[in-house]
Amino acid sequence: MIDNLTLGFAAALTPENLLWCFVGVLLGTVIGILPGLGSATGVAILIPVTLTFEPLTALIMLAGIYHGSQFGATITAILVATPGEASSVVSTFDGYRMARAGRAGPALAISALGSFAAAFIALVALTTLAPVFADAALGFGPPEILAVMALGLCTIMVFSGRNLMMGAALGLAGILVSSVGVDVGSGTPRYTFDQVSLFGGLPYVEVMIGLFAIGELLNQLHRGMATPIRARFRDLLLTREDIRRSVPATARGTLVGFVLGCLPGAGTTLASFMAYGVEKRFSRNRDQLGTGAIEGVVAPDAATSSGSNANFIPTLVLGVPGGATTAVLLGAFLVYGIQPGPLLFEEQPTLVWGLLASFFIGNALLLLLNLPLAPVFAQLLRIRYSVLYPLIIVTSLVGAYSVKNSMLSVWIVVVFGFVGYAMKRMNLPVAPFVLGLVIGPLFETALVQTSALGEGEILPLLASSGPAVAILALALALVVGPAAVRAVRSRTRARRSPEASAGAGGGAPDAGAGPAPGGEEVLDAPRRPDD
Amino acid sequence: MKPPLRMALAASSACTLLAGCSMLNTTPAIPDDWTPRGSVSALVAFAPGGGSDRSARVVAESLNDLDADFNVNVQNREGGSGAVGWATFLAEQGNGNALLVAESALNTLPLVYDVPFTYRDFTPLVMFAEDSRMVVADADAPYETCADLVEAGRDAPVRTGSSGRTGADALVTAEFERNGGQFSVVPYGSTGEVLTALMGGQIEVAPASAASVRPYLESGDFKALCTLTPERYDDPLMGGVPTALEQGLDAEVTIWRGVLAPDGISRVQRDYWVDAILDAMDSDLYRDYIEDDLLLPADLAGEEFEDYLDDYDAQMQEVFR
Repeated sequence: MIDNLTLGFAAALTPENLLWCFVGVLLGTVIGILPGLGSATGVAILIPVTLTFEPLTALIMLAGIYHGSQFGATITAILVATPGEASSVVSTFDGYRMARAGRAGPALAISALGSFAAAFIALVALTTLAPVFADAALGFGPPEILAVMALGLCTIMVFSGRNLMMGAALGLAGILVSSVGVDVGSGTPRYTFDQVSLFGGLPYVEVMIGLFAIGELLNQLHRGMATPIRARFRDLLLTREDIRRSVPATARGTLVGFVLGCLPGAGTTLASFMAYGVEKRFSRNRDQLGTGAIEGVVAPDAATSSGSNANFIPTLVLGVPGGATTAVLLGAFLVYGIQPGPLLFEEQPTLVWGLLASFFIGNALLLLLNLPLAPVFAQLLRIRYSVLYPLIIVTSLVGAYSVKNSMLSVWIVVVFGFVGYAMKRMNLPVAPFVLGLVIGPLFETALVQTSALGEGEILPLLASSGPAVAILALALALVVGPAAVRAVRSRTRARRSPEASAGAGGGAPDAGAGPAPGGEEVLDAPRRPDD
Repeated sequence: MKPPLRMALAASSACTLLAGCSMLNTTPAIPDDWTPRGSVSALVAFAPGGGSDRSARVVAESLNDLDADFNVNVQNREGGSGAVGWATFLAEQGNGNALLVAESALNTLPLVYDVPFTYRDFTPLVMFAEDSRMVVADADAPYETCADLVEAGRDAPVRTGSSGRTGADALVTAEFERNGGQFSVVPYGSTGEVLTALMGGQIEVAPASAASVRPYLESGDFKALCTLTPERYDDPLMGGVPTALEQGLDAEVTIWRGVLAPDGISRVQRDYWVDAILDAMDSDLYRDYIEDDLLLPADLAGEEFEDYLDDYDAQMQEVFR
């Protein structure tokens, strides 16, 4: 193993490869920042550019774009609630809250740190045990994936806040929207109203840009222009308290991201949502989540980062892409005449280990790039909103148009902008809707495949699979468990509510308070309450 | 109430702006010395990493190596076994800067599903390769030949995977069923997923292209049962695999790969692309592709390709009645 890594680093640390790795992560960061232009598109666009390179150099640069875009996407998600990448949608929940409270600097810094830590851990696991994880992933057939998706749907409960029925309804609405287009099993067009352009379904990225960027913007306009945020220098830096709270959240996020990243097809978006769900359930400060808690920023970002690295396990070992971008990267492998599969590690050791070594280097470069820049980016919020918002609107619409060069995309952004705005005015949670949208197609594919495997019967297959039963049991616990706990807690809270809402200051949670019903911490006092 | 008014204004001006943009589409006349400029999209209706995607990338790169004033970008629009991408391509009508890299499923899909297109809705340019299928099973599987499969399928359906219900994989199943075997087919998104499912033991056998199974045959994970080609492959490894015909089955699968343009492009544009693609096929990249992927080279252009498609479609109508 060490021999291999030495070989890899020797290959990746040539000046040329180092340079292109840097170019890749830098370009990736920019691509991530631009809404609409995701890493999959970015990599696809740049494949032709790299054709004159050595295969290793080209793949190093393309992988750098992949890693960089995850970092970049989080920056705009946190600063202006405009996720540049589907997987950074979750970063808007708490990251944007932190930014509105003047703490954009720490949010960006912890996101960079958490992503790096998660990437590092995931890469160590990847380099040491990739074949083992690949074997485990092979055992995950359609029934098991179906159970994972059912679990994913159950996390909607976690995102629903108090109003469970509303959350479930919005989740189903998300699934309904995701079912627009030609269906996976039979190829029947659904809800397309004979519009050929809707055959591909409502494009996810455009819906996100509308819901988040335009929705938030309309909401701010309605409320009257928000004043620019002038954070004190002290607030731009991470406190020891921030780091202490982030460590367990990062660990949980990394684990969730890694497990989901290993599974072919599950993707990093689901991982980030699940990690947030885990925080909502297990974090010591779970009651603060959604109000600008640092755990809510770092956990999903760690999950995205470890998931995007773990994605390379099915990609490299099995030749099956883990997500959209690794699918494009797989295409790049083939362009260079490299066939990923069981023999790749043996036949192309320099290439594989060089690439893996470059992942370490790329992530380290990203940390070096993003950590010092976090306070600088945070200063963007000093710009007056009358300047910032037109910029956001233009980049959002141009970004949406550029994904497929189609006006339909722009209309989708506009329509979902109003949907997002309406949801904000009516105080409806957006997360369950988005989660339904993400999981809907994955769930359906697994359902169709399971039913084909069982010749029309689904339950016997699910019941005969140990992992599937375990995951479904977990899902059941997730649904029923908290309802019971919440019932108990709401009774306790009813008695305590007067003093719980009056907290102020750093909100240092007492170590060892545990998840006891009475252990709610005071809110991280928002410096600018904007609700 | 000031804010709502301001917002209404902003919204209405945004809408006017957008409506203005979409009305700018006009069609100028095509001059005789027309050449494509700028970005040309090469649409593939399947996900990256598959055989169609690979062929599209080879075509795109070979065209770009001609150093003309255009740059071909591969765009993947997967979904609905190709229906999504091809339906999308309908909208390119009259656009000389759009190419479609397609395969046989363009004939078979409209025979099975109610889609708004057939192969006649596009302009055939050049057919550049013919491909076929092999059938593989896990190294420990109880089957040795495709005849064994068909025999086993007479008693109980054999569980196989398919990367699309109307693609080449479906043709394999259709051929075997014509010989008397029964199969239950699990739909997957790509050949990669099908092979993974075979490795994971979820399905018993898998149809796949020779290129995609080669690493698994070399590693000894899978064994080849037969090829669906008319003759054996001319290749040290694959040459050892008998054809289904040799095994006494009346089963053969040919799929075409070709480049098409949208409907309604001018004669000039069609001729330009036919020439350019034939030129591009003179590259080492193309030759290596044909050799590495165990394909049969083909160079049917324009009307020849059109006639081939008509014949092919007639055959497919038999299979998918």
